Amino acid sequence: MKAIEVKNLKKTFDNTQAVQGISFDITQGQIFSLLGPNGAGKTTTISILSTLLKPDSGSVTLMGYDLKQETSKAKACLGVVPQDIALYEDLTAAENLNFWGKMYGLRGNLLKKRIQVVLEMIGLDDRKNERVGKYSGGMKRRVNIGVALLHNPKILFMDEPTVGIDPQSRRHILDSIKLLNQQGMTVLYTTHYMEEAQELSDQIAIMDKGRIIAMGTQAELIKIVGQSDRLTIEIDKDHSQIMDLWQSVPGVQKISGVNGSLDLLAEDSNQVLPRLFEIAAVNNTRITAINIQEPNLEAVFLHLTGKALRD
Amino acid sequence: MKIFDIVIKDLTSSFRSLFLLIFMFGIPLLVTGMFTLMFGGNPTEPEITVPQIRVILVNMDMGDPNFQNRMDQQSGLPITSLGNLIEKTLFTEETAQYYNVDNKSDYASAQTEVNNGTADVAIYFPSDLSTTFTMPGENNVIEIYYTAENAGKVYGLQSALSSIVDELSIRRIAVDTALADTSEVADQNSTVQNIVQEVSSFPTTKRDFLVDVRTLDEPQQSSLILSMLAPIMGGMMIFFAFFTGTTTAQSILREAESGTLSRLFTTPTSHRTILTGKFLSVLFTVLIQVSVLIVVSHYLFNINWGTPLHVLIAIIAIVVPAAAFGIFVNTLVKNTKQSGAIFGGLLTVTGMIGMMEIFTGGNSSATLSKVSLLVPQGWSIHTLNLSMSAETTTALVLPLVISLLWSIVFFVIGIPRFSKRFI
Ligand SMILES: Nc1ncnc2c1ncn2[C@@H]1O[C@H](COP(=O)(O)OP(=O)(O)OP(=O)(O)O)[C@@H](O)[C@H]1O
Ligand SMILES: [Mg+2]
Repeated sequence: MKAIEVKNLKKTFDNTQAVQGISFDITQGQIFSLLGPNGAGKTTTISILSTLLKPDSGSVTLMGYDLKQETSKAKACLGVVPQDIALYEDLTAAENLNFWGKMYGLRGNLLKKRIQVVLEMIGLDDRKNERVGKYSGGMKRRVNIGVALLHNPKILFMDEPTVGIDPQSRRHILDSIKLLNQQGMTVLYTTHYMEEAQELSDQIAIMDKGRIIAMGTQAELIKIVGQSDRLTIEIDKDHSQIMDLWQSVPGVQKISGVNGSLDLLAEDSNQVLPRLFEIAAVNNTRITAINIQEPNLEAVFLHLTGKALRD
Repeated sequence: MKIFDIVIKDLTSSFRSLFLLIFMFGIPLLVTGMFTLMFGGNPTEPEITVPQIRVILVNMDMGDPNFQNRMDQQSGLPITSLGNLIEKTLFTEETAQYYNVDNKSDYASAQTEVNNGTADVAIYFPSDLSTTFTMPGENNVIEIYYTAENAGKVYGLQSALSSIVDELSIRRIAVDTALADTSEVADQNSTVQNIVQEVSSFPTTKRDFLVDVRTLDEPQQSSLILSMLAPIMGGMMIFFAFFTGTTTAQSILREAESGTLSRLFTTPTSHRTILTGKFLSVLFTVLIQVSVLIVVSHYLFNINWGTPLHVLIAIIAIVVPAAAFGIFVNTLVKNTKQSGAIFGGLLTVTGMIGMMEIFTGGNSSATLSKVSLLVPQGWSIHTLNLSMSAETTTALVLPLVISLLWSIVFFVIGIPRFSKRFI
């Protein structure tokens, strides 16, 4: 079953075409990432999907509910983690969770239990009675996420939830997302960090200037730029002799060299490397440095747009 | 109810804001407190309480046939003796609040009581007081006994007694003269009778003149301050009620800017519930503020705001327009950055106009006072003033209705403006 179906969504602000006709489906239980640079239209898309913005055209269904016709049923399936922290700073974390839980329709014992579960999940149980205004950025981010999890939603929207936080908090958040996903939650995740999209996603849509320019699994996307690994190897001798020997190693597709530095394209770097070492040893050549570059989304983005993902 | 969850959340935030608390409660109470200190009043004891003077009256006067069958003009009770007459002149219903009179027959023990301090003063009428009054050439003495430390306290009583005795003495001279002029016993008797009649029917006005009760340290000044305190406190309260309405309604803008309003809109909570909750938060915050100020100032400054029903009407006439005004003015600005100067200006100008009635001393016929009715604050103040001046309930209905009309206008303009913006 499709958790989310988006068809031909368009949104124009005064003179910015923020979203220019995008369509995608997300299968239930998947993590789907919208990967794109600043201004790509990620937040605009999420805002439309969470009813904060009305699209100029297009349709959205969440868990089979049409967003326009069955708004409240659709919303009840939804947890939203906004890009900017949206909490009451003069209330404590516990009070924030209590209030937001009520807004999601939770009451009494169930609410108490869920608050406890969420506090433990975001690792703030011991500091729940401090005002959010006094929290560090990372702690606020965690509460910001926690609020969206209170009612255990079927679908979770997360708009760049790891921006501006320390590596430890980021790790914690990414692990939590995986855990929630294992428990069956469908996640729509936006980011401009390629690594996050790669680590988390079942499906990735690369967005730029209001359009989805490529979509698929990571492997499918990488096929766009070809599947070769790029190896850069430095040796302590002139390259010309060893270059000829290495060229004949099965799996090496292309080789070139200058001044003791060689560039190789290989089907799989890990398969060819042992052979390259062997040949070097037999020929009294020392390898002094190796750099492996597997094909990635960065390369895909560069290939498709002619610019880097982060600039 | 999600509406009340929103209200409770907002009240928690408001009452955690030291800034808001200072403006809601601190400044109105502080300013009023400063006024009382400036004018030297003692606001905690403003009641004009004069301690009662404990009098022991030893009236031994046996009376005289000449005094029989006379009636006291004021009370309609018979007057049997001169002592009886003086007693009735001195201790009337009006003076009862100043004198606690105890009739006894033993002058010596009365004096002992004065010495002990269980009584302030003892007065002694001798048994032949009436008889000697009607006999030419006779003299007599009324004794008044008190300790030196009570001299100030009984000063009024003593001078009242003296003036009665003086008045009687003038009549006595008339008796002496009349008796010297005629040797006929019958004539003598009728002359005495005429004079006694005249004496015993001192007209009421004359009695008031004779018995002029003066008490020292009468705190008249205090009631003057009181008459200023209430309007100052009332004005402050209403000014800051409108301030609170505006500031708390601003939390709608703040929530819009901080993203929490958007986040609320992503929850399965209707827009109407959210906005209604926000509006009610404003209303309840101002309601709590005004109620607390009314009660606290009543005890702190002894301000009598009026009967409970009138005060309730006044509270409604303050709270509802203050909240509606706050919501309305927040629709006039785009964001909280703009709001500071605009709100400050609006609140000050309308607040000043509204308080004209206070500057004119509640004289509602004054033109300035009429001007104050051009703004909602003016009607709130007008209602509160009417509540304090113990007008009839019907007199409060019109200003209440007009206050509510102002509120309706603010709501009718304000709510669609907010709805259009956020829904
Ligand atoms: N309310 C708005 N009014 C006018 N323009 C807007 C509005 N919101 C977004 N835009 C514009 O629409 C475009 C897409 O913005 P959006 O916030 O969706 O990008 P994003 O992918 O979320 O970027 P980021 O990674 O910086 O969050 C941008 O050019 C932005 O300036
Ligand atoms: Mg964004």
